[in-house]
Amino acid sequence: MADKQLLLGDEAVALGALHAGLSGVYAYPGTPSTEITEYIQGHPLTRERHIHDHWTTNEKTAMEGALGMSYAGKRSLVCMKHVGMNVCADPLMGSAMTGANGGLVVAACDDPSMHSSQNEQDSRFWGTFGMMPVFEPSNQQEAYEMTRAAFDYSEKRTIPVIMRLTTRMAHSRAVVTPTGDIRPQNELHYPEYPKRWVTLPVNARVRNRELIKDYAQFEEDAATSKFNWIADGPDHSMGVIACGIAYNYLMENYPDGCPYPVLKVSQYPFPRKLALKLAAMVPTILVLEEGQPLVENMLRGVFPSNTKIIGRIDETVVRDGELSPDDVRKALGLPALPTFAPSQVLAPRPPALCMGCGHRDFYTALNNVLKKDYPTARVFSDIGCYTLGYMAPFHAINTCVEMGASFTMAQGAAYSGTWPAVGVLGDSTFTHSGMTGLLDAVNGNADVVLCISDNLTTAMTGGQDSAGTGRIEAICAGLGVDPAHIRTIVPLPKNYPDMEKVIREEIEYHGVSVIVCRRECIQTARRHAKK
Amino acid sequence: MSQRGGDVQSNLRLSSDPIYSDLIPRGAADLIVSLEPLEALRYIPYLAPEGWIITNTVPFENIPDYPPMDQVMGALNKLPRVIAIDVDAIAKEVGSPRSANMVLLGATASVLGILDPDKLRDGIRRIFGRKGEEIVEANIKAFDAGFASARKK
Ligand SMILES: Cc1ncc(C[n+]2csc(CCOP(=O)(O)OP(=O)(O)O)c2C)c(N)n1
Ligand code: SF4
Repeated sequence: MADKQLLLGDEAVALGALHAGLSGVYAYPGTPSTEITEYIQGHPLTRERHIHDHWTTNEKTAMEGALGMSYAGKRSLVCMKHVGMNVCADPLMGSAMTGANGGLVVAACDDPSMHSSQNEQDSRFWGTFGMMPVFEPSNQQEAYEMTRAAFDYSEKRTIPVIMRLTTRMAHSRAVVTPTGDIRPQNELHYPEYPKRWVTLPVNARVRNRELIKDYAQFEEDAATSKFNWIADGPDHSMGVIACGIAYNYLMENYPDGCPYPVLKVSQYPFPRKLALKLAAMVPTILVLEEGQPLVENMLRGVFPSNTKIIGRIDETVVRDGELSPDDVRKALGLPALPTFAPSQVLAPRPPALCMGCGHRDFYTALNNVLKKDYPTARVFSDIGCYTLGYMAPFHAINTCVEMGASFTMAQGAAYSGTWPAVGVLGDSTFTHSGMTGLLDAVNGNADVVLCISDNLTTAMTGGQDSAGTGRIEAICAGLGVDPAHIRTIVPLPKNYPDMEKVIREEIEYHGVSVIVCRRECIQTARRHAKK
Repeated sequence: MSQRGGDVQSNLRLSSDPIYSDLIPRGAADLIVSLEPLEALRYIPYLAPEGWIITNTVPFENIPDYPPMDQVMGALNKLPRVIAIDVDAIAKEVGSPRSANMVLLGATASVLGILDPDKLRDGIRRIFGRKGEEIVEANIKAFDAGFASARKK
């Protein structure tokens, strides 16, 4: 009883990693992955064992740091939201080629339904793409156990393991009972296969063939894994393949047990052998998976088959968005539960910038200048709290695509003839992916006004430390921006005249201007005041 | 995203049997507990036919098109089992305006059934114990006031 803990799925992964002998967590914040790293940062074992736990500048540096630790024989964990996988795709794909030495686990947290993201890409695809195993827990206890198993498996097969969570798995709490001893950390030891780590074509060609063979072995492993199994049922008119948390929604609808045979899958590559076993029992298979129809697509061949596959693609299950017990209920042909109709007296309550937020004052001053005197201006923005400048009453930005795109898109538009071309991003976005774009602007002498709305933190994800705090102007100068055109302003209503003057002057300067607009986020300021 | 004023909800499930889904199905919520009346109304498709709504009556108007209050309360009061109380006023009355959530918890405890209110009082003591006896007592008082006011309804 004393051992039971109420943990988020994220925290269960974190605790599993700590108990597996972790030496370092490498992460850039992103919903719904942030709490993995925060839990590790707050855990006593982290201090006791000197576990590396600093936030990294972006997901690419995170993945590379962790790979270096794996090379040195230690166990490391990388955490990010799903789109972070795009940023670290290069070292991620590279890590499949080098393989792992010390256990290397990559936790990717997907956000189907886009509660706080720009797309619903499914991280299981990276497993297929890079030829890496993927683990997908379906409850918090399993998240703990699978994380421990993932580190062992990573070392056994010398391969990084992707741990895929989705929003509800990451952000819901349940009881976890830790199992097994707290494992010691690994000693420094170097790879048994040193050639793999130098991916020159001469080595990479050899390794690629090995990896193809290994991938077949990973599928064998998945077919016998304790995380994948078939449970028979009395009704053989249909079978169900339930992946990850989709299994929970299936069982929620059958409190007395599922009548159909079920194949539960939590470890990939998808174990085709088990699917064949299920297909021998039933004529039709319903595929339930959270995210994109990866398994379903694989099972639906081009050529005719004796097994009918139903799922998202034929819209037996809702085509996009996260699954719910209600969607699965409908797919199973069960009647909806009686309830009340949605009220007619409703109004949406979208998020908005906090009252008193510095981004508000920045957008007000920017609008005062652009809307009045520069109607041809375009504002290229980015991802962070400041994206809410799109909403009423500001309507201040024209684009938001992915982290860093503001500074570079502004240049592309400027070279195309847009004037004024304004870029807006936050301090953490700047160090994540804006700095490289700023160097491009300097080298191309672009006619742009690039604004950094610096609130001294990574606010959008809850106020983590920001990598460049205190050094933003120095970084810009170091990248070659003329110091006369690095201007710092303080976003407050009483400063509007000064702010507007600076914005105007820098628009009229035909070269690279950087405006740093700095005032602390009022949420973190409040927290600091309490301390 | 609550710090930026958007709507926020979370699901809580308690059972002596295994719980599979973290999400509550539509029509299966025994209770909707809300610190804001419009937000209570937002989730009624999740309410079980026998379920209760426990809500604050004080609106939080941070949107331009907040519906008229008589319509909001009218829609709520059309539902069969609603406890609507001015949680803010009760919290102020017992001298701890920051304990509005404890008032609401007290009101909820009055219809919860499966959990002894004393267990919740123990929980309050455990959570606030660190902050000293005075804070613990203020929260217990708010809890009890909420409990009593719901009983009166
Ligand atoms: C590749 C990628 N990683 C992480 C995120 C999650 N994320 C969204 S905004 C943001 C940080 C924004 O911080 P900052 O630029 O300082 O702006 P603020 O929110 O503080 O205004 C993060 C980490 C993301 N959307 N994309
Ligand atoms: S959290 Fe901070 S940065 Fe984000 S809207 Fe609120 S005050 Fe602004």
